Amino acid sequence: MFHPLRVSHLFWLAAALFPASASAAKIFYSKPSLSKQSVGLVQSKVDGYWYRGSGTVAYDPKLIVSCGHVYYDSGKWATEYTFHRAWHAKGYPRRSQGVAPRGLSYFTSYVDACRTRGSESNAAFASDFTVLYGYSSFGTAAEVWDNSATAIRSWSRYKEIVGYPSEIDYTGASGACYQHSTGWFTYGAYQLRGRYHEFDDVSTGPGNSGGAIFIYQSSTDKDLFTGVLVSGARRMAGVVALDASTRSLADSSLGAKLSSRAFRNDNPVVLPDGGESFSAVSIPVSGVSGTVSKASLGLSVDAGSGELEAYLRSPGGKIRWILKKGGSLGKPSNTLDLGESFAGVPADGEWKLFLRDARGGKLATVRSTTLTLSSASR
Amino acid sequence: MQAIRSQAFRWLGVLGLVVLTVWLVRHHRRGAEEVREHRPDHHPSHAPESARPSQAKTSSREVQDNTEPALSRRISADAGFFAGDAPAADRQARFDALRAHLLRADSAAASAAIRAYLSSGNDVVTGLAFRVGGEGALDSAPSMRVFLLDLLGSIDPPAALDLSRRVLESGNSADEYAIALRNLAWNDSGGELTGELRQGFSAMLAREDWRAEAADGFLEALDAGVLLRDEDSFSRLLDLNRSALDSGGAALSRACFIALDRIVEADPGMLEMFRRDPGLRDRLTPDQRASLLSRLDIRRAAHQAILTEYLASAQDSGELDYFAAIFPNGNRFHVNRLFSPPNPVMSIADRMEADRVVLGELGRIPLAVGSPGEKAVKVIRERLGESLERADAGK
Repeated sequence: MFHPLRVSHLFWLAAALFPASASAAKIFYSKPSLSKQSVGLVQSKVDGYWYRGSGTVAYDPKLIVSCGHVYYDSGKWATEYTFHRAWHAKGYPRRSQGVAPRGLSYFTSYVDACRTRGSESNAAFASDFTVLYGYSSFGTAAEVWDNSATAIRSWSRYKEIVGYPSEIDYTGASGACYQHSTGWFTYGAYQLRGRYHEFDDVSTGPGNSGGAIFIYQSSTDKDLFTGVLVSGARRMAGVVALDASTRSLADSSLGAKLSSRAFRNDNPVVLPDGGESFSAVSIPVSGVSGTVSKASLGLSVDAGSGELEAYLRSPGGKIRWILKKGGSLGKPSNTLDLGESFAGVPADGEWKLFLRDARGGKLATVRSTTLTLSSASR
Repeated sequence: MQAIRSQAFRWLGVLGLVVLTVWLVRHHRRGAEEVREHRPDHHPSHAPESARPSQAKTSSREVQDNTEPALSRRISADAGFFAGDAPAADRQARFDALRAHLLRADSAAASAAIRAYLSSGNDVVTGLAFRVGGEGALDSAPSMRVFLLDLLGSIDPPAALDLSRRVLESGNSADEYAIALRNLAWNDSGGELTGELRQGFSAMLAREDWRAEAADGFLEALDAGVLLRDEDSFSRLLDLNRSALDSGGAALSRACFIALDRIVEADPGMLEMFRRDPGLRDRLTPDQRASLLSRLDIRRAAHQAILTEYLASAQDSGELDYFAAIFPNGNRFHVNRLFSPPNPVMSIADRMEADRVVLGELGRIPLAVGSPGEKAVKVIRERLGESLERADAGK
């Protein structure tokens, strides 16, 4: 005889199992969808072989952000490449239907350059992107959200991956040359290394390299371009989040003028007389977009008969000597040009000036320090 | 009848649930190891790396003990961690946490703790790669010694210089040597250490064992040549490139080429060495030669002469084809650098203006009619002309 309690047991069992499976529901390209006008198909020829990838017009109509490995391989630059914005058709476009970028900035390292086709490591993926530029407009640029890594990792932010897979990993279907979109999903990515993140249970397909990840920003009701797809498998997608270095590169390509901001510490610091250790003066910097181009340091010191030694340290640890033993500040208040000593360094963070009064006799007091940082910005 | 039908429906429901349950369980267990790959077409796939990182947990109310004994204990504890079998992601998190901890600490105490470890003779393999960050400091290091020598450069530059000089003298490890050279460069405020740096760089390049090994530190230290940017370093890098090619070290050659290219990008005048000593060109592959010479600035008379001679003498048609496809080279490498500053980026407007000038100058290059050189110039003019025309038409 049928026992109703067993039915309910099975029901609860199924109900318990189903949510677990539902949470493993895959995000993939279910059908072609022309979702973003700023994303396009890329065709590139490297060392005689044609490759396809994806790219996004971003920062400016004359700039495209894409992955790196479609444009440089085994020591050779791509010799032909064209961008076909918002291409959405079964077949490949003719070259004349696209716009050829003039050149590119290819992110790499000495170590990665050694490997054919780039190392398949997290560190290599983290630098696998490119900013291409052209003399003509590629189309309307997507708005960019730099430093969006936190949002990429969030499980509440809506995200969308867009690109041109030649094959849909998850289903095996052909992507032809149609644009595809995952649609909005809220999975959060895991940070693997620096700007490189991976999504579980999100998949795209080969050919999607350089594709875009957009995040919906509810405060502005905008879809913002935040990263580049650089790797993937049937159940994962790897993306590189945009940050200060891509912004700086974009700004420099566009000939952005340098703008300067000064950060000051007026707390006087009395240096131990003839001290062996250095005293640290903190100079917090915030709100500077991009990376440093030039720097200068203003110092106001009562040195007495002291002999100052000083070096400046960036938030990431790079140092530059300001004054060495036997050197002189010149005047009690002076501005020292540090030139491009810190060029390429992200500006925001805690800078530290380390000082020592190397000769005993009279106390030296640092009255104020002013760090002025110039960065390219528009 | 109704009762039988009702019972049948119940059994069907039970059967359906059983089938569904079995299907769900099997589906959940299915799935081979994911193979992760780059996403362009026609690429092979490779083995994936390890699992998700566990988040490095620190108490939000952690009070940092800045004494040397406490910092030494921390270093020892982390060395013990690295000696274990934690996954790569956890190792990186631990590395990042220790680095931040020591950078925040009192510099004198941190320096003392670091120097104590470095002089102990101990070392531990971290399981991480030698990776340069955006500021010339390491994002990860393969051993505790390399890690701490790198950090000492930020925490106590004078002490780092002393220690680094000993490392350079002993020459036991290519990775440590690279960081020691970097510390030397960081302490070179007014050029007083440039000679020492040049000497150390030359000595490094001369190490046959290191060239054969091509350790990551050795490769990244090729960047010292870009910082030095003198004819001697350029010549030595060319020699290294040739030696790598002759011994089947194509990979080392590729890394070498990055340094050579960055030197020439920063100072195209370096290409005039090829004019004075044409034999230098043979230290490059045809593609490398084409790529370097694609940085010729033919607004300069000397470079026009080099280009004329190159177009007339290039033996390999593939080389000229590649040259014609990329000259004047508008591409650049953006590299995390141990030593050198970033090369300036030419703005789009300046590049466009430069191309116009080049287009005009190309017409003045004397070339034999029908020669490969003439064909190459024709390709260049068509290419540049098309992009400038398009730009002028506002397309």
